[in-house]
Amino acid sequence: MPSFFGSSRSSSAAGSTTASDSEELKNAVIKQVQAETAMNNARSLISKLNEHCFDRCIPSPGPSLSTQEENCLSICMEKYISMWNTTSRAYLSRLSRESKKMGGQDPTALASLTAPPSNGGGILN
Amino acid sequence: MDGQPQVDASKLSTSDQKELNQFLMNEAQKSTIQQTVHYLSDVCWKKCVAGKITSGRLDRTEETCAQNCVERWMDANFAVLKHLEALRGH
Repeated sequence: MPSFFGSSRSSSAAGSTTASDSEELKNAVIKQVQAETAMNNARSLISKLNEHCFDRCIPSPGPSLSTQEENCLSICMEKYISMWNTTSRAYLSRLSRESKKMGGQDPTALASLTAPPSNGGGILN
Repeated sequence: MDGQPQVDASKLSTSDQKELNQFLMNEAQKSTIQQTVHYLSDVCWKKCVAGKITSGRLDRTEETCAQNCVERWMDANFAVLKHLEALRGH
């Protein structure tokens, strides 16, 4: 992945900027941002899965993971992901209902009003 | 994106800058929404999935609880905003 930053620098050494340089840089940035967003999202999910399912399935840790604990972990993960999907659906549908109520305002603008405390992007920031 | 070199925006054409700007704004909002969903799943899991975990799916009660959890959280959010608004009016 560092290659694109490298290539953008080498093209700057060449001097003039062409349309294809611009296009290339733009696409590289888009790709990079998408990859990082996906990574962040996965990281959040994994950490929550770990937190909740460890809490539920391994109340008293033994010398190794028992089959029972492993089974518990795998259904717990499935269940947490179902929870994620359900809350996601409920939240998005509420956002779109609210934005219709407010006269077709962009629902994503509402989303930043109702951001959770942890992400620091709330109304007071 | 710590530790990575800055992207040189002057290498971009005006139209590409605009497009990229729009893209980044969209991504930021999508990301805010996703983080909210992570937060809600966390909160509503604690409130709604109390019993022993026997199935990988949410049962009907849990599903309804999760939906109510999201709806009431939103209500609470709006109620707080409304109240703040009223306070500001004084």
